[in-house]
Amino acid sequence: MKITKRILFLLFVICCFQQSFAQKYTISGYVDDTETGEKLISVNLFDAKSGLGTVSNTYGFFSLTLPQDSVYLSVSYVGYATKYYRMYLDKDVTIDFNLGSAIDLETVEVVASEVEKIEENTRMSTVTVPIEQIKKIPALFGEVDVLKALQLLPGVQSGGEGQSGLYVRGGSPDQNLILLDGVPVYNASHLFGFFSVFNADAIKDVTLTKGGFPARYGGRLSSVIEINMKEGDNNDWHGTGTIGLIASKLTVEGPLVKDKTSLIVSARRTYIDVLAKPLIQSTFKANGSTGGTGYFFYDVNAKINHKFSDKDRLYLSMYTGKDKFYYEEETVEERSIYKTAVDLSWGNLTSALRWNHLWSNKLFSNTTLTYSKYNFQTGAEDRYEFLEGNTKEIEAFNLNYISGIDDLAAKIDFDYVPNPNHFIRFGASAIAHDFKPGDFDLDIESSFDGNQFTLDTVFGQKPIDAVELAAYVEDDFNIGENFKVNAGLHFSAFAVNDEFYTSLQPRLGMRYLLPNGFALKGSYASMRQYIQLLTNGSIGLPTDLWLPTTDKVKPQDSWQAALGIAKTIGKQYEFSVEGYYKEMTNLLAYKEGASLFETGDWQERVTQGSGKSYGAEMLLQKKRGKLTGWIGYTLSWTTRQFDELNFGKRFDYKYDRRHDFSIVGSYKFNDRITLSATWVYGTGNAITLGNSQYKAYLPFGTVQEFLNGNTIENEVSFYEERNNFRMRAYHRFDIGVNFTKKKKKYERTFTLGFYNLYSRKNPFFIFTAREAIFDQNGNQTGNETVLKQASIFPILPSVAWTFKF
Amino acid sequence: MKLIKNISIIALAIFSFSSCESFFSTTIEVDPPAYEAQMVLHSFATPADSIFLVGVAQSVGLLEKIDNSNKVNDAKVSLYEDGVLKFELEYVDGGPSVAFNYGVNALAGELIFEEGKEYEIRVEHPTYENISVKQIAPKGIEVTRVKLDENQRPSTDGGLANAVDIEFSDPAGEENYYELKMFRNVVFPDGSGYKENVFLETNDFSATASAYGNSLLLKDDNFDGENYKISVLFWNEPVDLELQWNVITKDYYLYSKSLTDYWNAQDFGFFAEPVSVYTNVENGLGLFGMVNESVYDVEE
Repeated sequence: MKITKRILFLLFVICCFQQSFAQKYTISGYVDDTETGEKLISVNLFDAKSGLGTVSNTYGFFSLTLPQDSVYLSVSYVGYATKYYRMYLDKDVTIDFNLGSAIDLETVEVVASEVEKIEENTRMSTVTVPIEQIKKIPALFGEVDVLKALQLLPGVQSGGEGQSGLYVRGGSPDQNLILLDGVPVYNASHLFGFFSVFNADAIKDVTLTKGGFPARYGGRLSSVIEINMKEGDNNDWHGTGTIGLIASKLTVEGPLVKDKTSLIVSARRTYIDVLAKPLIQSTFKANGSTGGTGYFFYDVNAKINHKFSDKDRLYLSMYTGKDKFYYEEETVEERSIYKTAVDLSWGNLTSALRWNHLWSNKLFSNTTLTYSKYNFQTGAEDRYEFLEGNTKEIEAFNLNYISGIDDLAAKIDFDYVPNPNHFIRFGASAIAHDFKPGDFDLDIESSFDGNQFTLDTVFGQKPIDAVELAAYVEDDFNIGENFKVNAGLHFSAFAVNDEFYTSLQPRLGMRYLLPNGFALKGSYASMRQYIQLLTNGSIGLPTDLWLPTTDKVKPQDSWQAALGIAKTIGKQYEFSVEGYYKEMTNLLAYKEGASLFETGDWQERVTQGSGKSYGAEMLLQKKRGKLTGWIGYTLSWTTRQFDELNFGKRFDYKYDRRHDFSIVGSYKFNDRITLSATWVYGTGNAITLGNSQYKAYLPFGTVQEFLNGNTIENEVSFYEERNNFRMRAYHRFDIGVNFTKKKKKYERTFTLGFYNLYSRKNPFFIFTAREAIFDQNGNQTGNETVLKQASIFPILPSVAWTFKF
Repeated sequence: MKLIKNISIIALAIFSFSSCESFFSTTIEVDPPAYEAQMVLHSFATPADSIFLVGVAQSVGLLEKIDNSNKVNDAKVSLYEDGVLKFELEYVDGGPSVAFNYGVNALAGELIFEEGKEYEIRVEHPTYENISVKQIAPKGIEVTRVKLDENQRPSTDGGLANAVDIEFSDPAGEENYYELKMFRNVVFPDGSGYKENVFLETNDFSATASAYGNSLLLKDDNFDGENYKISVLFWNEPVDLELQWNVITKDYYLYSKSLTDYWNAQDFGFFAEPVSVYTNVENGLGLFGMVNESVYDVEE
């Protein structure tokens, strides 16, 4: 608490000091896109006369307090033409700026120098990827994927081939706080992790924070991924649609009341089940039965926002998505009917109601109410009815399993800008979690030989209710001309059963301007996480369970420090290099031999330990010009230590990756043709593979009987240590080209892409197999056991047709 | 158009690779991890033994065959009692499927082991790193009651199973480990017969069922120093039952449990966490486990 007092006192003194100067007035307002009315985030507003500036917040709001004087204000944003505004400031004023897209490339380059540079910001370990850039990156089956685009950034790794899970600086996927319009998304994947749930057409921007977390973020150890949905065009109705190999999508947006209320609706669905239906039905028919089987996923995003006045705006956003696999078969014969069905489905629902209110030209608030839920359900049914004489006999079995998590949350965030030297944020939140670790519903019906038996029972694990509370305060302030600091505190608490955990987490980010345009940046953040995903970790299965901290399972903690240098090179390039060190405690892992398919108390199947990750990351981005993209490199070490695993010895984390390299490029030949390519390289994942093997024995009965040969024998593999074997390195080259043509009433883009162009056999898993041995004449002489590596994706072409109207 | 043409040529070139099967194949052979062969020792003993047998073999590579050729038949194997050499073991031919290849007989009328004493096996060999392992012979702990319940009870899967209650007094202030096995004496009309294994289950949280179905493992974490009753469930016919009650060492318990975990994990394949089978052999693998065995008839 001493630290809190000191920081608050320091903030107070600095504020008073700053306020004591000459008369000051405030310019405040919103910045939006001229064409669509979309609010623009992180727009740079800079007064050339005073040398002071600010940036717009998540809702496009800005507040800049300046001395009474003439003002020469520039309003700039990447890809938009800069606006200049002259005035004499002698009273508080409200101005809304509309920025229009840069007319031509040269304009963009001219404005580049005006945009906030990387070296000016206190934040480090943070990358914002424009959604337009993400859309250009060649994608698996041509399906644009936000999370896979983030995997191409330094410090971020994918779990395995094609997977959309993120492993950030040695953390696990459940340590990422994925916020869709401020609402946590628990299961962010479709199709067992091969695609993420985010439809790029409905998204405005994506920001990844890997470290140096400002105090406003909390609840996860490794990263925050903020995905903001578009708000909907306030001026005109228009839409975008894509017909792809595995899915199609459509987005429509427009004003319900011009300049007041806008709407955006976006939907996507796969259709392999629909296309294959006739073929599947004919196969069933050929086997003398009826039924069907298939898999699909869909997702729908919708958002409506209404401007009540210059001071009040309301946003209602919703996302829902579902994956479903099903199999049904019915065979009808003269005296019997046999029916069998299996289904597996999972999905998210998130909804958020947000109210922006401007209390004064210096104080902005956002109040959010959210509801989200994730459900996994699977069922199996078998029913056999037959006539025995004139009696109908029945044997029926029906088992359903449901698990999930429901969240109801409220939070309030304030932005307070007392003067250009301070940007203070504070707020609080409360989340009511309802965890459902798994319920079985079993129905059995049997009618045979006149005997009847029925069973209708429910069993499983009890739901767990928990409440998570948080509060924070942070200030972004200048100390002198070259030194800028973001300091804050994040407090969190968690109530579950009879336990009440609390945590106070200091956060610090600093920037010091060096000569020649370099900036030295440093950060420290401690984090706490109260909920975790119980998973086998290798692939994103829908059976993975989100579970809370309990009296037996302690909350996870981490601290991370980073130091780096950043510089804007010329007008087009941005360079950063940083080193980090992170320690994590109370990490969760399955005990030896445990599996997620086991029943029984989950707390008995897990063990807690610690983790370390350290390394260096380099990112060179080219943000403007015909060629855009980045080169990223990560050198890192990540380990784990659990008393109950690997005999207590520290071992390499499965996703410890010594080298990780990516090149992402997009070249715009002209308005019609854009070529994009990516190349990635990563050290192979570490897996546990027996070094050697031997036969182990146990007495079946008594020791005397054992000596007489009554033994249990089992061939076992000896692991020198956990994750002792490196799979071969992963690398892949993808390429895609967009052909765009403007028609009279619409614009169409034809995309041709190749995933894994040179068909690298990247490892997915390792297995042993028995193979025949042949002599020179082709005669089999015996068999041998070999070790093999399986890959899943050779070269994969894709096509997509996109239209905009 | 030139660009489209060029891309088409590249695409065509790529698909022409399809004639080459390996371009699209999704499996390749990889080298197994390097290893250094170690000696593997297995030996189980009770204070009632007048013969002592030890098996010594070597570990082999992941892809190699495990058979009789892996046995190490030219080692020097010695048994020490409280640090004093007691026996040099001799090579014996245990046959193809038997776990031992060294042995020694006690003098007539004598036993090899004594409760409470420490025994060490040392194995020396010129090729492999020497190995050694120690155990203290456990003392017996009596079962005070072993009784068949007249009524059936709900089993772990909801059905009704036969039940036997076993009561004993756990010594206070020490870690104790137990193993329970049950057999049914089946006798044919001609007088011949055999011992039928009784597969055991339990709802007792202190116990673990062996993956092989032949035993339950029990540790006294939750009932140290108490009179404890454990109920075991089974499906065999509840007549002529006998309980084999073993007081085992901690090493025996850990080894047996890890083998059970290893066996169970094999069922889940890709989805299970790897299991390291426990060993108490220094510089080697395997187990020297000591047991204090007793047998009780189940009261019906």
